[in-house]
Amino acid sequence: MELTFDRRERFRTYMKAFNPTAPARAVIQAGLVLEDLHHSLYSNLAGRADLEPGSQQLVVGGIGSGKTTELLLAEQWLRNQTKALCLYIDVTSETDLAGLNSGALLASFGVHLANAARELENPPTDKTKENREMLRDFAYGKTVRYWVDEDAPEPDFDDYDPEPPTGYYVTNRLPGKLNPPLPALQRDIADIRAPLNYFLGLIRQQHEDVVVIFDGLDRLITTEKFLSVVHQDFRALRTLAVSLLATAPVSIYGAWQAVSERFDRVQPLPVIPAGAENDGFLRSVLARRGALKLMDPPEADGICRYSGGVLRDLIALARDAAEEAYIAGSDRIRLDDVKKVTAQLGEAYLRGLGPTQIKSLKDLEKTKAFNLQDSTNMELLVTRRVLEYSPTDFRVHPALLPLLTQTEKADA
Amino acid sequence: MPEFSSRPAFEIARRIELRGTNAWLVVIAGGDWNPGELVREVRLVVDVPARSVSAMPFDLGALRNALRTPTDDVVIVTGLDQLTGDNWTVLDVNRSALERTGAVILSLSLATLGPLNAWAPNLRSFIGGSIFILTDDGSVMSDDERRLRLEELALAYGLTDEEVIRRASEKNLPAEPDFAEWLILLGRGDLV
Amino acid sequence: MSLADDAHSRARDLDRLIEDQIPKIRLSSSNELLSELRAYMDRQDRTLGVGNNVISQLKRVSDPSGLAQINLGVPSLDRTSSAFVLRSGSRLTFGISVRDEGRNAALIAYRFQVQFPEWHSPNYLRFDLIPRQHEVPLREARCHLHPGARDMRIPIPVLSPLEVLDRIFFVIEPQIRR
Repeated sequence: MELTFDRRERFRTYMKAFNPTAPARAVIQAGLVLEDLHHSLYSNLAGRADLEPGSQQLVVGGIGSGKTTELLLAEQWLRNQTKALCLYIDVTSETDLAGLNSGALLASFGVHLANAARELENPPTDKTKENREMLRDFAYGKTVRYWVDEDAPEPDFDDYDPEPPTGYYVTNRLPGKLNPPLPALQRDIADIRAPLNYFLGLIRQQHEDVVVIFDGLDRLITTEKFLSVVHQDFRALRTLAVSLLATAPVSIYGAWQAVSERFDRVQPLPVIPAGAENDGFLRSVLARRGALKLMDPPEADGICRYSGGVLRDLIALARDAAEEAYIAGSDRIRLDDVKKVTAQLGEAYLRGLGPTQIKSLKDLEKTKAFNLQDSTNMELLVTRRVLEYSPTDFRVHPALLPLLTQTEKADA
Repeated sequence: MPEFSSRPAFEIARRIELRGTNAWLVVIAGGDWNPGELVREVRLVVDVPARSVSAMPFDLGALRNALRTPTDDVVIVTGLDQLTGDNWTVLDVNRSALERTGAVILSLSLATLGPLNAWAPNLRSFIGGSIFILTDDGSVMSDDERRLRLEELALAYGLTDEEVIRRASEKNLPAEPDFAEWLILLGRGDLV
Repeated sequence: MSLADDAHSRARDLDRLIEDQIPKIRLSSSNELLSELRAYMDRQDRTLGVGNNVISQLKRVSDPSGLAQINLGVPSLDRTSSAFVLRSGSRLTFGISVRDEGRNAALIAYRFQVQFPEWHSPNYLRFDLIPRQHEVPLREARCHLHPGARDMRIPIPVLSPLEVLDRIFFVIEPQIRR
């Protein structure tokens, strides 16, 4: 019998490789990422960003599809292969995304740019300090003190009037772009161009180009919100000849044509179907992390199939199956473990679905047609009950599907 | 409707111990549930500090600070049943701000899974299928187990339960740990 | 007085000292004590066990008078009943009686038995804390160790349950090698 200690170490090692919530950067550094999973898309994105200054490319993918990983690989590619300065900005850790509005992305870019320029001038010149302060005020706000006059609306200033003007000072905090929530202050985006240009000038003495990667904008969920937030900022970045890669919400599938016209490239990061022709890819993701040390091919196939090709679900199912096996005292993952965890995942997706949504899912399964203009359908897509395999191929999440059949039988 | 897996607090703690860092899971507990038991089991099994934090009154900044101070212990978040759709959206959109190395256990009711799915799909993706209904740990001896143990004691010592009680009342029982156990199993710990 | 009388007298004095130690051992309430023991056994199982199902082996029962019993497995020398199995093949069972007093508990009695593999001599070790003084403390001290021979009992200081387990896992088990 295998000793408990050895068994536990085997499972612990496996769990470290199969952590679906591990930061993407750590996963890449640990060598666990299959870089050609999306046919090295990251190098195409990065290459274009480098070759076409001012270009703007969106990466559109559902939750858990691996967008952040692809963007970090792009950043890595740019650092290793080009002379561009690449700034990766996770907008969600910079500010409250719920209150994000026009100017905030530029503010974030400006702060990162100014920081990147630090090592170029030591000590910084007065002009650099001045521009840095302008960016800081734009981003984080500033305190101003000003005089409020209490005299009549049209005071009569008599030079010989011995009485001093009456009034008082007021100290006000002017909010910055990175403090939520704010009304759109469109006019001052133009104001911030000068310090941005200043730092870009400094940076371009050392680097050929500047590429900014904005991650997290897909959390803005609706296409309308996404476009309203990014519109002015992205336009400003284009005029500054800064190339841009950004994530965008999956709801863009419902406005693909309109959005595509505004960007140089709108790149879908679709879910990878687990059919025979693609089994290799998903299985490779598992194998890369050492899955076959704890499971056999039938179990791996089950996990690939029921993940629907959603990368986070794939990793999570592989992790959960191992956990079940360990708790049950088994030395390896069994088919029963896979069945148990896929049922749990399906149950998680099922919760909260109303009759209208269930009908939409059943209709999709029956007819394969999926109207993206329907708000119920869009919600199902955003919440991953429906997965996009291409802009025209939508399917019910395979972990959820068997449970829909059960509700059908229950209704009958 | 099929239910989620029912697991005792001890096993939830074992799962967290196995998972290591960045673990997210949901426990479904009743309305009057006290997180103290789960906090205790996590501390004992995982051997890291554990605490519970309420999400109410809702304040993203306060919750973020609570989760990051420190960032490597295990935190059980309560009060989530009272979150509005907007609250969930704020949490979801700012999910990165809540990330930490220590495990996060969200405690909520079954009914709250609907709003979680609808308003916080990013958070739900983090949780995946890691949703467990908290159940009793089965450590209390069942009547059958108690009866079986009494039979074993009777066979080992050649005495009946009545004889044991009588002799205990007469202070005539051997000073053996087994007899203390015997009397407790009979509900006569007063005679120990 | 004869030598035997002196021995009995000294044994009675020693037993009083042992008796005095018991109230100084404050335990967590029986509910929490079970959690502590379960976590301890689970962690020991990870390195020294063979995959025991600790959660099913540990049981508790409470009595209306406030006493509680915590058992691990079934103490028997026939090698078939439920026990925590160590890597050497030794089998561990225990029974602990406590009196719940609010958030704490007082120790009443215990029996920890380690049954060694068949090739080992002695056959077993047993740590006993008996619920009251024996009539003949020289023969049976309030807290004693059975070194595998039925009527041989050696007085030991009162150890808490975790202290007994520490001796079993860190001192005794490592010695059990063929």
